[in-house]
Amino acid sequence: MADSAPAFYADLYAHLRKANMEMLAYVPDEALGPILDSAEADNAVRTVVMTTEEEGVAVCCGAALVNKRAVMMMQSSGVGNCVNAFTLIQNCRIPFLALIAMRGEFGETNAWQVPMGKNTAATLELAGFHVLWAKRPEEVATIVDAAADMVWKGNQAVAILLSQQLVGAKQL
Amino acid sequence: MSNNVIDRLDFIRDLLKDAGDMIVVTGIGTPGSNTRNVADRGLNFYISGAMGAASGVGLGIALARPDRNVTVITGDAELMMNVGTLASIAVARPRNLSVVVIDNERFGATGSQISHTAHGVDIAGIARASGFPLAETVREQGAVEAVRKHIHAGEGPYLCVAKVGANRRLGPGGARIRDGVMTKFDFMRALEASDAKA
Repeated sequence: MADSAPAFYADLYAHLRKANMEMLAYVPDEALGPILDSAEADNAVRTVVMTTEEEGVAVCCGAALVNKRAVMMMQSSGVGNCVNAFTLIQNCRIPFLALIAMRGEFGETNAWQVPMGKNTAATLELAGFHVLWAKRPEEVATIVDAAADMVWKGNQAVAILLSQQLVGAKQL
Repeated sequence: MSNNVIDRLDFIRDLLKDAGDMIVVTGIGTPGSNTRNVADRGLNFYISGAMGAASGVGLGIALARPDRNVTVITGDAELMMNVGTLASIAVARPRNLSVVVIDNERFGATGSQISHTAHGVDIAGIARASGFPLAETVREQGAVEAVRKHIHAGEGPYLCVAKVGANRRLGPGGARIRDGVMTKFDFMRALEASDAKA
């Protein structure tokens, strides 16, 4: 992880690992860079780059079917790509954790990002997810712990949304 | 156009002969019902929705269980819906993953409308260009023996397109769709039993 990354990224990663995450499927985002860096430097975690987020949903479901803990990491825009794939989670009641960097909300300057950003949480709720917003650095670790318990002990689908209030609005 | 001679049911039955502890994932559409009708086993996971997800589920399982061979059996239109997964598989390069496409050149379940492969889209070519070490198209039932060897060889990722008749014949049990949670637990229980034996 880059030394310049805000400290909550290290907390976030450490708590995912404490929960035994062993696979990270992703479509990248700048705000998720430090997490990807940590995973790629970690021999105990397999990273899997996807061409579209719905592939990642399938990959994480596959891992869950054989009891491997996987996380799908993506930008909020990708949530719209996943809607039909999410039915696999609901139909088979598969434990699923999504880690999502927001665009189109707090401080957004690019109007093209706004429609999906405004619809991200509602889309996830409609698809059966519990949505947990992370807005302040000091709450990140607690949110990851709660999400991990809900997913891997409670067999739920949970999305952690990293607000631009936390990760910073992208300046164009 | 279509002079395909492979019978989809015969091909799947012979493909999964002596499948042992292989994990099989089927995609939405006729190939899933075919597999359940002629080669049902506990280590088959049948997806009856989420079109396009079968190869991704297979990839996730293959990466999580490198000690097991994993074979995805799905239709041409199901595969094409997320054809990017072939690129992701080629990048991840799981040696234990095979994808077998039952290609009838139709969107079968929606009424057998002509699909992309009928117009010449070459799925094996896409896989090769993506980086699969071996991807081939077979047109005769006799080829199944060699395909079966490949899916057990652990030298993948491997892809086979089997050109079958332009029909959507389901097989003796008809359409076989069951509850998703039950499907998951049947599979997970079978895997647990198979792991206990290993």
